[in-house]
Amino acid sequence: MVDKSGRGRVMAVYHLKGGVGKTAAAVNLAYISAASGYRTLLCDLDPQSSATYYLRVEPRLKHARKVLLKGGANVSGNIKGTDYDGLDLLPADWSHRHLTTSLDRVSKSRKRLRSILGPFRREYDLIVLDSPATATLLAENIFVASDLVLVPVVPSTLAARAYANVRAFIRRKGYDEGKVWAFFSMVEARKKMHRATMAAMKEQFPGWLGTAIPYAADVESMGSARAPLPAFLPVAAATGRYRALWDELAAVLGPGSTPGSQSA
Amino acid sequence: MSESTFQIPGGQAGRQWLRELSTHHRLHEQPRRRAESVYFDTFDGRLAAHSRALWISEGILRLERLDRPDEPVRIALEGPPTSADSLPPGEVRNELAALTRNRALLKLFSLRSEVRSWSKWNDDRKTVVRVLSSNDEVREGERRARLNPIVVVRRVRGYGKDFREIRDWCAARAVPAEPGSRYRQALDALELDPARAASLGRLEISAAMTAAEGVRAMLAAQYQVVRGNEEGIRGDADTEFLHDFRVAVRRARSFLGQLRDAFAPKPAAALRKSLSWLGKSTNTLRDLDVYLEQQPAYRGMLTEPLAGDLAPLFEFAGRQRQAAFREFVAVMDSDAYRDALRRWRACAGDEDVLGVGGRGSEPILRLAGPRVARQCRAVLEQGYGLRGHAGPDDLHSLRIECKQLRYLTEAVAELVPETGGVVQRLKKLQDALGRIQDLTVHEARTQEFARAMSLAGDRQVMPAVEVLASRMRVERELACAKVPGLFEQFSRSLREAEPPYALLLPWLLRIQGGTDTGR
Repeated sequence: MVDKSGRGRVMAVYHLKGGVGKTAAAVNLAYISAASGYRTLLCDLDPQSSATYYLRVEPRLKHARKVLLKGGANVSGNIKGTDYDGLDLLPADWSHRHLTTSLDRVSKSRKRLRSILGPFRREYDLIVLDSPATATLLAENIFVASDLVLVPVVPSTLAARAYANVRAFIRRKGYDEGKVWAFFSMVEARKKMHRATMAAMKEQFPGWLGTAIPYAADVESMGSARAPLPAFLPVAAATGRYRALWDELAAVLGPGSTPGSQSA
Repeated sequence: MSESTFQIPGGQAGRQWLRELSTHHRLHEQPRRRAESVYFDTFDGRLAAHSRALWISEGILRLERLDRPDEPVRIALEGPPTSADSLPPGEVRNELAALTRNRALLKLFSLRSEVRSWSKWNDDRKTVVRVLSSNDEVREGERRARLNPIVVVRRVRGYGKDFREIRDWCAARAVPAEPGSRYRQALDALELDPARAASLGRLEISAAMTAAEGVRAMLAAQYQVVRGNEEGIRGDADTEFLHDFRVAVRRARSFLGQLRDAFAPKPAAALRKSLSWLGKSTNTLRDLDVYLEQQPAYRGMLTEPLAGDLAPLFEFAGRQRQAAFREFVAVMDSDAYRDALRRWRACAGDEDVLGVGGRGSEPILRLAGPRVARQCRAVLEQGYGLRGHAGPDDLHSLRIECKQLRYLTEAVAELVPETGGVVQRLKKLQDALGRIQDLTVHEARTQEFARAMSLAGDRQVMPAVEVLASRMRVERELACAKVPGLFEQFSRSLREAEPPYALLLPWLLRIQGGTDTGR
């Protein structure tokens, strides 16, 4: 899970639309990565700090946003170990809602996140970014910093439209579309509309992963369990899907492969 | 430090110790689990020699420093590692490549652990410290041994205070484990030497031995080397197994020849004949191993696109090598091979088989000392005779004499410790002569392969082969030019050495026409 110079990979879970299963995917994939032996850092960039909550971390952060933008040892001091061996968390707090405004004020503002994460790519095999729903300067930072941008897509008309906007945004800004991989999330296979939308979107856009995550009450129960799904329901059907999704991503991110080199 | 390790008592006392720890710090026990770690090193323990341990456990390969409490560098890996080259890119691969020079990684031992783990929670039931205890059993082949249990206190990032509390509690009640101590305990418990192949054949000769006893001990040690390398040769994981095998055969043959007065002539001659056959059986395979190992260097002698044109040549050589390997494995499976080894073992182990020759009852040094001196003289005569007009055959003869001297000096090194400086100079001279011989043989091989490929209709390789052969000749000339200087250093080391080389001094001074008063 490292590049040729031995640096860890960065994977962002991103969508400009909220409520599509970004945080659940980020937390579960980060957990599975750590359980597979990869030193994993989950960066919660969302002011809602749901990932931080799921992992039972009370950050007690001082000036979290300012510290994040300073980078280096300041950020390092805010990283917390989780309940799971090999999985650390950079928690978020409410001040993250001003991240975009703050980024706008610094020089080389589109590359700031990449330079902040640079030192941690030596320490971790995989850095997972749990992104807020945004299409701002923060989103551009996320695209620049990531080796792979993972987009959960709910197979509904509005979500399909939002995904088309994401791709158009990436294309317009000139970022590498080959980094973008999508998977269907919160899928209800019995719904005819879901099936039809999935088929149409696969026709329309490249870069789909084969695994779809079902809509499941088990995933919602992560909030009450405050734990990644595989940690408290290791044999649930949804857990199996996240593992399958991870296997696909590991093949894309793994040694010898270049993100975006696989066909959809 | 992200974790601290302590050794705790075994049995009931250890269980009581853990109960106290768990109660005092209100730890929450997690499910127990079992784990297996498999440790690796090269055939000659290159990692251990550089204070490193390499092991894989639960899909993670770790390279640990044994002399510093650093975090091991690590990489996820499916299946056991075979060599540095076989690993994904990254720090582990880079470090291993430098340490092992890409020699095969071979299993050293395995460690099976029964792991109990506990978490200390904060008020939000969040883990803030992890504690593990491990009961380990180490295994190597049929051998098994239990190690004393350990406790590991592992820091959870961002919760240093809780970690320090438990670590300090443990430090006051248990012995901290030194870096690498688990690895060393495992080796001790299994009586295992990571440099096992290199340590095979270590001679244990005492000055009190008779010549016949001493040579039989030498033969027995070399027999062990041969047997110890057979499995590695069949596994074909590393070409060094065959190299060690060949050296052992040549050493045994050399001892028999140089110290022939220690035995009855007839059985010694029969054993020498067997050893000669064994050695010759390995020649083609070893030549091709060395040829293929030199592939990157030979490619590097040419610029693109010619260097790229050599690819079919080395593919051809690879196929020849595979054929030679199959042939040698067939030899190892043959009755003749079994007979040769049976004879060797009998000669080494039973006084009656080799008999005792005219000087067999004399002390070993009385025979070996003058023999070393005579062999020194043979090397010097060859060397001084070459001044100005050394052809490849002459240099090869010098190389053979050097080898004979080397085997003998190494055999008596325990008794004559001052040989160090002489052997060191001799090695350098041998390396240069070996390079010349390799280039000579490889040039011929290259031409031979190219002709065979050409006959089979593949003539594209010819231009590249012509250039390569020419570059090999240039390299050989350069190597030849280094020989006089290295030879001079060697002969000087003889003048500066303690006996038995001092026996040579009058002759040495005469032949050099020097006025050195020596010592």
